[in-house]
Amino acid sequence: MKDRSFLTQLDRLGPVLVTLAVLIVALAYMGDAYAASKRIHNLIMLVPMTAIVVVLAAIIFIKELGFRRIASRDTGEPAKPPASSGDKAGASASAIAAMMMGLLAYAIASPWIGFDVASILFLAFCLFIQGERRLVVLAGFSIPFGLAITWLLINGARSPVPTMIIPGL
Amino acid sequence: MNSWKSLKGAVLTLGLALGGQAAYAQDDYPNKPIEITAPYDAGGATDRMVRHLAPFLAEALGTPVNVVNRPGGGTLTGTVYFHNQPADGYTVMFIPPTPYFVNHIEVMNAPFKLDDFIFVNAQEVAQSLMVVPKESQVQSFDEIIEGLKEPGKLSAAVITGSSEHISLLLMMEKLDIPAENLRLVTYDGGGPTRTAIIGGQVDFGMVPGQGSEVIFDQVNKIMVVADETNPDWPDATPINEALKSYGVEMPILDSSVRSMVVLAKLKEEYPDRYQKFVDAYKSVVESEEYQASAKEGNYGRDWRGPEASTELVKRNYGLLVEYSRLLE
Amino acid sequence: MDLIDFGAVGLALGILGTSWVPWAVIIPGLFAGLAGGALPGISGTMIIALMLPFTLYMDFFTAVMFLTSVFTGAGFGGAIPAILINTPGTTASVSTAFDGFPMSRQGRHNEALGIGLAASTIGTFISYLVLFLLINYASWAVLKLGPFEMAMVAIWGITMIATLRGGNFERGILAGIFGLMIGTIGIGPTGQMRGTFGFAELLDGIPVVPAMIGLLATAELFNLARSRYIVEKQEDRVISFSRILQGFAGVREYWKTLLRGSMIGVFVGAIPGVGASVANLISYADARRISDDPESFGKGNPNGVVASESANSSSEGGAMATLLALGLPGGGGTAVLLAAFAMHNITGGPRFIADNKDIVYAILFGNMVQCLLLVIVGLLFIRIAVIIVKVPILYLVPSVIVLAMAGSYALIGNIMGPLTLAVFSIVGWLFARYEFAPPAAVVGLLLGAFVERQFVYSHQISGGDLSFIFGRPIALVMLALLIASIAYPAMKNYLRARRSLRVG
Repeated sequence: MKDRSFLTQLDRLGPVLVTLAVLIVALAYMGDAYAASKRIHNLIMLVPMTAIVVVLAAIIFIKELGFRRIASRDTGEPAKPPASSGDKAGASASAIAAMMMGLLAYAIASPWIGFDVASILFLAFCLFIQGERRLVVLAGFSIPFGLAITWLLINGARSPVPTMIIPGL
Repeated sequence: MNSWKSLKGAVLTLGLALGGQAAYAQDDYPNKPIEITAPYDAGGATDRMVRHLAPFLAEALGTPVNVVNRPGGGTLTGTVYFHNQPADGYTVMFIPPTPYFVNHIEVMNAPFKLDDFIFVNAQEVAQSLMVVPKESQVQSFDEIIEGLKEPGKLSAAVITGSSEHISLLLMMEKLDIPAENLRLVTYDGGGPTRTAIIGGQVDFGMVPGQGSEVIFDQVNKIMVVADETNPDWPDATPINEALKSYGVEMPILDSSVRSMVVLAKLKEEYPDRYQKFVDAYKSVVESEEYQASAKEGNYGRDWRGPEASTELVKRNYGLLVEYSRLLE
Repeated sequence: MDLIDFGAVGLALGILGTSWVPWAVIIPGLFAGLAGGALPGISGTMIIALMLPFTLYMDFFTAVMFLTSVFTGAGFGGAIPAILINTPGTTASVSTAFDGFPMSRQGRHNEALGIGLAASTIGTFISYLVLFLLINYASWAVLKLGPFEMAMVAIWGITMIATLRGGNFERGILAGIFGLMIGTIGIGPTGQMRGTFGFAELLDGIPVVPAMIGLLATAELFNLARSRYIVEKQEDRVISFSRILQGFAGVREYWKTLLRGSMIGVFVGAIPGVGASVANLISYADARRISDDPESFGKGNPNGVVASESANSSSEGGAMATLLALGLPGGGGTAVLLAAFAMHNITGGPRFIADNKDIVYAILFGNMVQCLLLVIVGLLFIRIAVIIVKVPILYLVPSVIVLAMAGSYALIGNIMGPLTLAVFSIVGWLFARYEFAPPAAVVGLLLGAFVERQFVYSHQISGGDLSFIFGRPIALVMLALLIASIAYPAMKNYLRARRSLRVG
């Protein structure tokens, strides 16, 4: 239960956190560009854009945090949760989060374990997360599909993907 | 005795000669397709030139010759790729090394040096051409120089970091005209530069003459950076002639020097393959068929050979390095 | 200059009638384009480039017919996965998914595909018709667009798109600006590397196609995981050729949107550097803006599909106009065409048109025929592709993602492709969940470098003097439009908020 409400709290702060992330990325990029060169052509677009980002971020922070405080003070009710959440917000969000982390891992791991193996693992993982538990199905679907796609990449598209099982270019 | 020795000597020599011949003939290069690395996008001037050349080369070498575009980083990606290939004669590159190599080697710490390459043939030495759109307020070289003396009066278009860019700034420096007087727009490539010129967005421009034929109908060619008039552009005055009345002289900085390039290691490790490639390529360029076809398409078709071409590239490279301070 | 040169028309018909070979290559070309466009991760430009070597042994006219068929096919191909699985196959079909996919969810996938195909073919046909009539005047207007105008167009496009699907205004603009900024990562205007943090693969910026798929598609795909099938109700989950045809014929209802979309596409496509990717979004935003029922967009309004597909297809004609008239490529696909021209010693440009009117007209007519053939080939292709709705999402979603990852690798050539896809999937999911308008981020990413270049050129051409803009009436008008399109919704929001506060 504690988990559920933590995730829900996080979810409510979503817009703020995303804005914060965007702000940080923008400032970091701006900093890197400024360090590279202070010439006007290097900064002519980045400076106004960063300025706009800062202003918009401020507006969003005020709107989200300001109103929420006012709202909860007035009515004691929590503010409106984000648009696409339902009662399943907690559960499905974590399954989706898991799949996305899986996707990231898939991309990062490919150079080490090969695109073919990584694809197979990713496919099996997604099936597993969605409830499929039968090993026959997990293996029977993931292995042929993962191998087939990799084979096509190498022999059809002539792409030098790193592989473990399929012979590479 | 003596005759015995000389007979043995003769047999030995003959044997070596025959053996050597056999070894040469045994290397049946090329026995698989050859790739020409093209470190730029499809469709540009250099790309069109090499795609036109490839089938002729294929016929002369007796093997398919494939042009493969590997764009990125302003020719850096493709050049690095080429540099990493085995020096076995099955990968060559076609590229204008200047000005790109200057930026890659001097500024971006590229993993290659000029000496890693042999410039087999500078097939086209483009010259910087100064042009004015037909409706421009200035129509002659002298009018341009006059106009430049007034701050902010004139605008011009060049390709960023190109020979034209440097020649223009150098010329203004020598004439004691402040660079800020000119509203100079530096475009990413030949295409946008030409578009800006014929659209009348700027008063004049400088472009690589060879490769810009597509706009010749809508511009007047008024000056060329060369020692003498180019017969194809009779109205374009050679630069030092145009500058005579101003008492200054300019070094001749060539524009794109489109070259066939092989790895220097190829000549060291497979001298026969190197020679075979060079000979085949030379025979193509000098053939009547190619000369006629290239002329029709307005492609460069000179044979300068490895020594002259490498020297040409190095000379231009040196000049660019010397004057790149102007771009700061 | 005559509007139409009838002598040349006669000669053109002669060329077309001489040999059956050029006609024979159209159908394989269409098919290759459709297949390439339909595979997410593989772009239309890539397919044309892959087909280029095949044209080596064809004569010029045949080669052009083949490559433009690939171009035409790819123009519609991207719509198929956009409609069926919410994954645009190419950047040209981004907004097709906005209403196309909801239509699929409602069981109207057959109609959506039919309408999309009809809009595509008619859009292309219209653009070539316009080209035929105006070839003599075609691209001159484009030349008059200077950097100020271009910058205004780009920014205006982005602000329009930020409010594309309704939703939160500030967050939408933030996403758009964010996209613009990271779209400039790589080598900057002064030759410096920015934002690459040591990764050589980022020298040319963030790979756009994987980022687009991540931002728009994979996030949505994951959300799909809550359902069992794309189409909820079993009885709707049919593949019905008659319903596809109905959709196709039904495009008549939406003829206004079709016409507007085609016109927008022709003009946007003619601008060098911009193309189908932007055309479809601008057309969609425009259709929504003038609609009586803007709220229905994004929920399965066929006008959305029509607007998007007609624009991305007609941009082909616009780009061809620029190519033939100026010898300058309008975008990736036409650049490859230019290379093909070169292989046959042709350069395009006014002299080419003047000397070869008959060939130009023959190309135009040939392309019109392609449109007609696209109907047949397209319908067959759809008939096969639509089987996807029968596949349970359990298998479909991971498979599509793996396919997209593979496509990203093939396109980019290194692990940056799949990695970008993965990272931007996360970003896209977060943006979508909290109303940060992922499409705005996509357009920003597409146009970031372009907009920055226009800023630089504007500064250079004005000599740093901003009053320069007062001498450029077109730019001033665009600036006014830009301010209006920002001020108007902002004002609406503000007034609405005040009103509700007062009432409450």
